[in-house]
Amino acid sequence: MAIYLLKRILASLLVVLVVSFLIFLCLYFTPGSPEQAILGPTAATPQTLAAVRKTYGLDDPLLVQYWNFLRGIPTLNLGRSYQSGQSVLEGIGSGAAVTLPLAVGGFFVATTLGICGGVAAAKRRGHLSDRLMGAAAIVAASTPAYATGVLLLVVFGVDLRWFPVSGNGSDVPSRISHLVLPVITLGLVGAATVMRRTRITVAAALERDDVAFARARGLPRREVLFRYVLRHAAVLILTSAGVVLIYMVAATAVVESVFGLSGTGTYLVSAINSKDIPAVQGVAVVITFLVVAINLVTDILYALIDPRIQRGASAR
Amino acid sequence: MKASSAHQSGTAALTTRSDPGSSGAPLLSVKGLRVATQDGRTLVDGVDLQVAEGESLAIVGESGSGKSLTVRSVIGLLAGGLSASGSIRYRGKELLGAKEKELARLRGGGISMVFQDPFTMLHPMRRCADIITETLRDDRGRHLRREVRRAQARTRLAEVGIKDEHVLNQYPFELSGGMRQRVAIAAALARDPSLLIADEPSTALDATTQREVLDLLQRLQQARGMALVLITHDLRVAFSVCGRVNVLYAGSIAEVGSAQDVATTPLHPYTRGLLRSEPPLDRKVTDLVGIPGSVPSPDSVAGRCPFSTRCTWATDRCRSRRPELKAAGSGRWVACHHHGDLGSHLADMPADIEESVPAPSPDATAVLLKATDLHVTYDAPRGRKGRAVHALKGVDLSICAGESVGIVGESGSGKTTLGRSIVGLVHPTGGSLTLGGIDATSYTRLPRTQRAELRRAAQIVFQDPYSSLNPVRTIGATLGEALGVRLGRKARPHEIEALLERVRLPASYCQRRPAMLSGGERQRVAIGRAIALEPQLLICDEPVSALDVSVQAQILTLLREIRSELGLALLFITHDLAVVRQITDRIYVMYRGEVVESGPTADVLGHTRHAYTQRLVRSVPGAATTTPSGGTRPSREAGEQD
Amino acid sequence: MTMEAIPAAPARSHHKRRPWRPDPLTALSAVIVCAVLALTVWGSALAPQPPMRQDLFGAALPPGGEHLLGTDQLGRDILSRTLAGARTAVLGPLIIALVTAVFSTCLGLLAGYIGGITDSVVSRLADVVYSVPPLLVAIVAVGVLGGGYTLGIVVLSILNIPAGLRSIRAAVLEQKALPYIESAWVIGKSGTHIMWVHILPNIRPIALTTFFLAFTYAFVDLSTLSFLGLGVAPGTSDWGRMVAESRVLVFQNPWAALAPLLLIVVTAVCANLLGESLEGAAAEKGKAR
Repeated sequence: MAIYLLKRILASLLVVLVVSFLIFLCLYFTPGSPEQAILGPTAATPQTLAAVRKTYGLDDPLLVQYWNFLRGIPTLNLGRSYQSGQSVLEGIGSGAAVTLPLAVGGFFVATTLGICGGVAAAKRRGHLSDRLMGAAAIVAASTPAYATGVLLLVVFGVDLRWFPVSGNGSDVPSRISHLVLPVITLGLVGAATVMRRTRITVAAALERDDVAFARARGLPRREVLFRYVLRHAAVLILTSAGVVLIYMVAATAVVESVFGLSGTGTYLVSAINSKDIPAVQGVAVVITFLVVAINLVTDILYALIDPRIQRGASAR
Repeated sequence: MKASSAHQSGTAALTTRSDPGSSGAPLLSVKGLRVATQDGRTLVDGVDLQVAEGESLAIVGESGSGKSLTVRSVIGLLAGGLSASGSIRYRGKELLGAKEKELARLRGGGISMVFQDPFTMLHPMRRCADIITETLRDDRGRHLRREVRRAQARTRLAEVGIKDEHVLNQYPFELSGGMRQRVAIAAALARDPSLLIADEPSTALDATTQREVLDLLQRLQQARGMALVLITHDLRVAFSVCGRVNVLYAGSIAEVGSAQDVATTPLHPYTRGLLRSEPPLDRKVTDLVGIPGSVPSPDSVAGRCPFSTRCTWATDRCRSRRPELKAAGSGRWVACHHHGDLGSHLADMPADIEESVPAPSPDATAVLLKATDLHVTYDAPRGRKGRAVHALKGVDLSICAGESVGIVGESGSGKTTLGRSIVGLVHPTGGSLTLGGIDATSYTRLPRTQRAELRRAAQIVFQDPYSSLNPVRTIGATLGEALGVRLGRKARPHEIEALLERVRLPASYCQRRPAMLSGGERQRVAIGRAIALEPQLLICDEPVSALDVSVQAQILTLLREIRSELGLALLFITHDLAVVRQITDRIYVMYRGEVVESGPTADVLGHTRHAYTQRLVRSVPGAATTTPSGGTRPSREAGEQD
Repeated sequence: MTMEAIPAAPARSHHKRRPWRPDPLTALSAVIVCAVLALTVWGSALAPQPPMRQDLFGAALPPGGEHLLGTDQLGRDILSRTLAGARTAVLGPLIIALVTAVFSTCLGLLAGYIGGITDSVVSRLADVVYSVPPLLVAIVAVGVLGGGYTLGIVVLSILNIPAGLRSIRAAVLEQKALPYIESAWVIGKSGTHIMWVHILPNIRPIALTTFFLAFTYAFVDLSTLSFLGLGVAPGTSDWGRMVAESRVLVFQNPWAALAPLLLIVVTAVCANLLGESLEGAAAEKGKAR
């Protein structure tokens, strides 16, 4: 197990390294001059431009620049924003105060709703309730997050005026009420994915021989459900939860933009629009790290759930 | 108790029972059971049966007979989309339509069940001790304490003959098939049921292990005085374990009687056909007898005798009215319009197949295939622990032109690997292989022309007829492709039809797709594809083991005929000793990657020398009764190790 | 006993090839998808007014009169813009789905059938690409490099391939292990022949599913790009862009945002349903074996 863990962690670090280099490479060849982005629209003399290039190390060769960037990572130094001069980490951090609760809330809604709905649908397969839930899941899964957001906004924000339409909110209660619709938006799309996957895997698990054997021996239904069915479905449900979590990372940017929240996603989008390379780079590397970490955690959870993976047996 | 003690003294004890449909207080009684799909297809059509306390009953039938569905209805575990109607009573209590909660209370304690496949039946992520004891509760319905559970698990395991304490803490995937089946039986018996249903409990196991599991079931049934319902497709298994036998055909009951009576004097033409389809182990017979055609679906034979489509004696009455199950002597029941006037025909059974055939002498000068010190090692799967698997450890084999050679062994013996390496599907890691004068040790390094020659030297037929043919291509396209390879041009329709005729299929099958063919028919097409290249050697890897018994003989006969027509050599790979007896002149017995014994078939099977071969011969169901030279009944301690 | 006695077994009733009769919902989805496809070609021609014509005096009108669905803040006719907007909304995803289906099928076939190093390289690459969220990469790449709609299509095409490739490869591996493939090899057929003539027709349902799945994902992602102002050029009639531009009008003319939004949802749902029922049909067929 320890060796397995070590291997997986090393592989994950390698992926982070490779992807961060790709990001760096991509941004290095971005059209447009960074010094112009730093100085803004003011006219600049060649001297000031050269000075700026020197301060930001823009004249160094590619690999040196990359090395300088990498060196900063262990000390959490992701560079300074061209736009505001603020440290990129601070920019991400202040956005995270909105984005983190949003993503966590959305993930919670998605998994709870998705797993419960999926199990219920699988147990009543073919019945009306199953079909209705299936239809709802297809609609929720096919609707882009921004469309769901706009719809919820129109209905609950504009028509019913239950929730605020835009902004972060000032104190804690208002912050929470500002997050309700975004969390639901995020949660609905994720829930649809989790539910469909759960329904299929639980239905498949219900047909298994060992489940029939457990029932034939008179094991109570609840125990069959928890010890057998859900345990078998766990690995695949976990995979879809991981996929949804990664999806959330991207979708928060969209949802924040719909609801006018100033989170990390908005930070990224505005950095993109203003060609703020260090900010984009910083956010991208943080996201890469998150994605790789999520994949790593799901892999470790697999091994914990299924003893066959630890003992290296074939999964039968 | 009375019934069980009576049973021990002999199988005839229960034949005095009068009626399969009604009696004083049977443990289980099923009446008019019908199982249908949602879209109205009938799968089981009016099954009646009853089981007395402590009795052992076998339900025998081929695929599609509805035997598994019948018992699944009894325990209330039909797959989704299937519904049962009729009446199922356990100790007088109606089970059909009962609440799930009540059924759940009955399961395990009243009726329990073990399934066919020990590899899928046990929770792969739970330890054996937990699986065995998870259904146990104390008087107040609470889970037992840990020590009590362990003690229980230990006794239960001992009861099924596992004395190794380690098994308690092991996961099922760490055990062999036979061990898993024992653990499953222990788990099924944990709450001491009055009735145990065993659905093909030994079919997925190797011959020797199969015998052990069946013996174990019989011993447990007698020791506990428990009723046992054994589902099997094999009449010999039924006779060797159970007191009474129920023969099912196409969703309804054909015949009921004591094991002894049914074995000696079958009353239904189908039972007779089944009995005759079992090739004998102790001699080679001229005519292998099967039943023409294949098992129909219950709906296609509604309103008439289900067997009328395949019965030699069928009359208009059989085709227009369904016969009812009627009493036929003491404890015997049969559903046949012609019961009574067929007696003499049914009884003459063994007479026409007594004669044995001398082995044709092969042309010993022309060695077709020679394998010397052949080794095959499979690497351990990448990214997983475990050692490399040595499938073949130095095998020597030779086949002369026109000869019929058998390879006998259980799973893991390397017999399939050997066959596959001859046609290049497996690459030998050592030794040499010469086929038709060409060094065929490594196919990939041969020039194109030589490879083409090897294709003409040897072809192969696989076990599973259902995946042997490309499902989207017509039979004509499949055969035409193979013919095209030999001819070097596109095959003409009449050539394809000639090939179909050679495997005894009508020309109209050209346009059909595999899904419209029965298993036996598909296997004929597979054979046709192999002989389209006119090979000198035809390798058959378990060609009949996926088929129903009544169809097996058709394929074996076809192989015999093709061999004599084309003069090709045959390499017949099988686990079935009786089959190999019928089709080969010489056999090799393989065990764990090595040849342990070889020689003329009659010699090897008649006078076994190697301990493993002896065990193999003894483990054939009913071997003790049909094989004069086969020695004594297998000892129950034959092998605790799997 | 010989074999002459065997009559030709009648085709078993449940094995009969039934003509494919879709359920009403699938049929409806197919009709709607076809209608939307027609819009991509003739949408602009069907528009009652030029979709780009501005009329600042008739801005933000509610539905009625000359404008069936009202106008937006620049006075452009919503119905016309919605009809014309189908082109960019659907054409891009269609291209992405085609590219994805073709590439994932070819690569999946090669990786699955040939195996060895080819398989390792292709699969590892696919694994790495699979773990990144396509939308996010598209946002960053299009935003920074500024390629707009075209770059969006390129990026999403590449990033959608791994998912399809993985399922195709798995299907190929499953087929490859079957005796009919081995038989074709043993009678002397070449690898290319086996891949194209034997395996491909048997994995066609999965390739089709891949196509529909990729279409749905690409449709959602590409319209999100447009919504964020990163896809099509400003001013283009495009559903995603229209939703973004018109959501400020929710009080004056909610249809300005709702019309394209509903079309997006309906198209995505129908494509999804169609793909799903094809998958179901393929599974049924597999069972009938």
